[in-house]
Amino acid sequence: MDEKSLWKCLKAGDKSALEKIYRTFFKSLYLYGKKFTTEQSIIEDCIQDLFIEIWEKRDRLSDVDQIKPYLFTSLRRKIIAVVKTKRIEGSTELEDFHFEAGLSIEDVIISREGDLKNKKKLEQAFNQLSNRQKEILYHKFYNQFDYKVISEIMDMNYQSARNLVSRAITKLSQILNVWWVFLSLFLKT
Amino acid sequence: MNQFLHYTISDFLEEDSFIRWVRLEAEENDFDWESWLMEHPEKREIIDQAKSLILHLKFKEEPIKEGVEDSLWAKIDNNTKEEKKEEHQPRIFPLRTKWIAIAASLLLLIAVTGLLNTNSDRSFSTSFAEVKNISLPDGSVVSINSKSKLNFNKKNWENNRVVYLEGEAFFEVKRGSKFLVNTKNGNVEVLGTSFNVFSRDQQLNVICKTGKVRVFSDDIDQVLMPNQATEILEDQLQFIQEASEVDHRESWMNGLYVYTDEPLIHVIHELERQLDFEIVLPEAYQEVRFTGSFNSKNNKKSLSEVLWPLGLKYEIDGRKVIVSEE
Repeated sequence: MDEKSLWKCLKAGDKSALEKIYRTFFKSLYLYGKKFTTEQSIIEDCIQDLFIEIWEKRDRLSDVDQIKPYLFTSLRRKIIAVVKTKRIEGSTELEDFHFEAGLSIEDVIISREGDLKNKKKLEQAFNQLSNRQKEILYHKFYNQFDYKVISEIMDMNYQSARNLVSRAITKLSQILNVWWVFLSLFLKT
Repeated sequence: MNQFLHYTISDFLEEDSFIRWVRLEAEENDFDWESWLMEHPEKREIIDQAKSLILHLKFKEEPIKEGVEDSLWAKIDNNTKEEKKEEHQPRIFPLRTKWIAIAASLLLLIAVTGLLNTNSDRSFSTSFAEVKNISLPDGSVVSINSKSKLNFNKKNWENNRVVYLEGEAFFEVKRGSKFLVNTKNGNVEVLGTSFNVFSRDQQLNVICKTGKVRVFSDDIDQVLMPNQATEILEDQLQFIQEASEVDHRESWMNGLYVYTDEPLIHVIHELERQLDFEIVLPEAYQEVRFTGSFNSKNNKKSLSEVLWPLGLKYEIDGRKVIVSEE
């Protein structure tokens, strides 16, 4: 069954559709939540809340083509609300949330001599990006959402989403500039 | 497609069809990058660079603890049952006699509508050594301390902000309609503010951090200003304290528990909740009072923080702590 019909079943009150949706997206929702907080109880409570909520207002839900973006948007809002208020006291950070995404460099590359240094370099470059930049690259390259979806999830307009990705990539390639020489050598051999 | 000839690395990375091609996931109508590259071999290098960035932007996937998926589903399943029995704590209404009839009929109404509509009761509880943060439908946030329970009903929340609390919690309430915390030892009413409520056994303790808080039960009705606190012990109103003495009551959120002339037995109960131990105190110490503090993050060390100043020592036997005199 495709996502569209699954969503229709949910709207019609089919409880097994709710479980199907939960089982399908639990892992990606949980991993996404983990980027915002290390406290598992926050992630679990928010996911629980999310699914109870869509069940309760199922007859008022609008149609969707893809389910995942809908769930991501809602979960993001819930988690940030909790995390934000928790950080108010004693927090000096300007950004209202933290997006902690680590990179995993492919094994092939790591096994080569001198690659440990390169891995560090890419990680360092990535860590210099802002939270929003990290998050948007996560949506673009990990979840492979298109810009329309990304702009909805991150609550920004289409053009700003494009600009944000573009700036993030430019920044990343600038930091990595020197490293390209090494990397392209490996790819050719 | 000559525009691609002027593309920079980031331009390629923004091209969805390019990303799909690199990942070997090209779709039917996608641009044919393979042939394009054949026609423009001079672009090989920049393409390789863009390719490698896409291939290396892999995000770490930390493992999820086993069983979480199933246990969480069980909770959701339980909360989305159509005909849910009313097993949660009944709501508490002020117990003045003339209200009882109204309250009873309201409860009946709630029970009936509860059966007809989908269930919107929420229940959160914490176990030993656990603290939870919960966001309410209006964005208000509650931090719940160990061994506590919070219930509320989401239905019509904007106009009916009522929670039922057993144990201790810190509230940061968004401005809006009246917000009511019911506990078995009394009720707390606010408009929008932050405050701490401790309600265990026969004891109720409320501290107002910002805004105004009203504490009331059958026998008392009192308004607290910022940094004032009140305590009800076995229905006896104790006192209102001012700032310096009270501002550490909600420091539990940082793991710090500070007491001034507190019955030792209350401190021991808090240690039990925070460390998940059963603590056996010598009979003679049941009436002793305690002034001092402990940090629940120190684990076993927090036992000594309380017991050592009193000249007591302890032995740990499984989950039991036997306290004796030096």
